[in-house]
Amino acid sequence: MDTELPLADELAAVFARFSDVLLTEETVSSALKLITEAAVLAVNDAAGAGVSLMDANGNRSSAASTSPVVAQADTLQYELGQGPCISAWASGSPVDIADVRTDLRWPEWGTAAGDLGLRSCVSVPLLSQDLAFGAIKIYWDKPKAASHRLIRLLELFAAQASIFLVNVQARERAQMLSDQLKSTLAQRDAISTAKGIVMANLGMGGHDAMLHLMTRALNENRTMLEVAEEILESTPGLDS
Amino acid sequence: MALPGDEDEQRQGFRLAFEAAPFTLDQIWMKYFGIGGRAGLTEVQAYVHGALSLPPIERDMLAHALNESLNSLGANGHRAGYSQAISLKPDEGERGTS
Repeated sequence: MDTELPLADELAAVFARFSDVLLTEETVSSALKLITEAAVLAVNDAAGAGVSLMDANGNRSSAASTSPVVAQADTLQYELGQGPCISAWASGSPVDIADVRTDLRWPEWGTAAGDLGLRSCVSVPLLSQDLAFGAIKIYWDKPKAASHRLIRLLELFAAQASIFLVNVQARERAQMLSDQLKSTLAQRDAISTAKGIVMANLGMGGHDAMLHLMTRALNENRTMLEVAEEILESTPGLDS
Repeated sequence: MALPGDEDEQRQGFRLAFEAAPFTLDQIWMKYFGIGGRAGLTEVQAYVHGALSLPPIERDMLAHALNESLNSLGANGHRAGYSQAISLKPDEGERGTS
């Protein structure tokens, strides 16, 4: 099987890279939920906590919160494109708002958050090697000037949460890659089987059968997998 | 085997479409492998950079892998070209959204 060696190398490398992961089914979303619950416990007078993960462009990729009000206040930030979490993420530094009704930095968001019954907020970035990939925020239902000690406490909390999240995200990416690999192999298998059927039915070699499948896909504006599946389904005597 | 000019032209077309596409070569290779491609990732990288010659069937499958990936996004714009072994219906023009 010398001719298959390059591919065998690739697949072996891909499998080796991810063979030591996937031991638990913890997902990013359950990790985020854990973090928000722990944050509320750590700050005992808080109205709620939320955490968001952002991609490199500042788009929110996933989020969790301890209450619907927090989720609404967070979502408003991303809709309005302004707010303490976006600033914490962008600057990589903590942001605190003693009173959302009087803070001048994010007037629209402040008014909306006040209407939701939230009055003050601290947001700290989640950092991985100086790169912010999200933010944790704590909300209170009363105006509150956060002490340096509280902000420092939340920074330490965010540092621990970051280590946890970076690991969980790596694991989830590996899971996605593994799923992708499985579906890629299934696709290759279906196309290969269909190629064999074309070879037998039309009396052509493997090379021409592959060209036949590709030409059909192009002329019928379908994918090769769709063409292959149709051939498999229309062949009597095959299971499934 | 196609003439050398054919391979260069196809490689150029692939690069043009690939460089405008939001995919990594890893992703395209994975797709190419999924439809039955036989060249390894390193060989494909070498082909794209002009350092290696690939048989026409592999070049066509690589082009097809990129084009299917672009179609699945509904992306407009450049598609990678095929060798003369692929005969399209004459009335087929733009192949865009799926």
